[in-house]
Amino acid sequence: MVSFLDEVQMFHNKLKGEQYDINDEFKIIKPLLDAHGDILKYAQQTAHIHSFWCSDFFMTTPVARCVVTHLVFEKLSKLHDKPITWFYLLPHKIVIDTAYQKVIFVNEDIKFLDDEGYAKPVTKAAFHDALAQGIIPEDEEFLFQDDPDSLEFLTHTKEVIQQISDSLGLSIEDAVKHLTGENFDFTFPHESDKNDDSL
Amino acid sequence: MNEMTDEYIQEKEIENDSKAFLQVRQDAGGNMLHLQGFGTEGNRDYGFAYRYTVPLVVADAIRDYIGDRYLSLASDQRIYFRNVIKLYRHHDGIQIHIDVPSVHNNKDDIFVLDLSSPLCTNLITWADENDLLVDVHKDGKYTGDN
Repeated sequence: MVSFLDEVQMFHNKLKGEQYDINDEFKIIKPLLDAHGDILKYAQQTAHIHSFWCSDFFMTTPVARCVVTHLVFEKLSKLHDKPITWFYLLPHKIVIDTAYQKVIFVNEDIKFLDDEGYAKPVTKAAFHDALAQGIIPEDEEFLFQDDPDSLEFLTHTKEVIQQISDSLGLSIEDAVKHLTGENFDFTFPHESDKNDDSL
Repeated sequence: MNEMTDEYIQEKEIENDSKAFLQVRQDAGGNMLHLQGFGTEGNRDYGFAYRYTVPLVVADAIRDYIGDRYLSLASDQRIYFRNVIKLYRHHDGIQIHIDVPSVHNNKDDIFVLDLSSPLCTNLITWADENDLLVDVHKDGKYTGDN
């Protein structure tokens, strides 16, 4: 078996210069883009009369980039039988507008590390997923260091999960489910449930 | 209400057979919560019954609760609590209040939970048909400290 870095590099070499049509993904989001287009028209027509259509509530992007990217890469992940995180790692451009909808894997070097030499979170995610999918040897170690912010996040998350596991006598897996409310029919409400976008 | 006999009504200690109610099983295993409802015929001839998953601390608190127990509406096991389950309809959704004490209560001395899965629709529908949703339209849902 080949190492993680070599596997990713080989895959990138295969995809360099490739373009994939993403018309199907565009069809999913087009109604949302059209609706937002209407909102922008109303704003343009009335901005000198009242400010209603110009508020932050209306001026936010209609479709989150992460959602579009996920739709595209989920399709490619299935097509190439590679972890979805690998596509986030490879240099790419996604163009999605009325006239042109494609994803292009560009001929640039893969950036595994950030400017300070730490592993980018996507690199670690791609490594973890490669292990899980059996693409790289089980005993391969992750060669890079997490950046301090990621390390702090991971440490804190592990501590919270461990506390829940210890106090409730749950396995780590069940503690994660308890924390995230996964699969529960009734769940604890959260502060984030507040609808800050209400008029 | 339903076609249950007078004998049944008496046996199950139902004081007012024209008024629906919910009762919860003391121990449904693990993190399961089993509700029975007496009222119009839903998925049971006596009304309604369904099992739901809940955070383990909630199931544990019900297991440890010391309160009057009532007969199952389906059997002769005295393993259900009444008057601890209430459903509230807010302007932004429905929540269930489970009035059992626990160090893990998230609001005063009770649990307040969201009805988070599509399976809850059957409970909401039946409860609405039986006037068991307390309308608090002017209030938003409790969002807790989590």
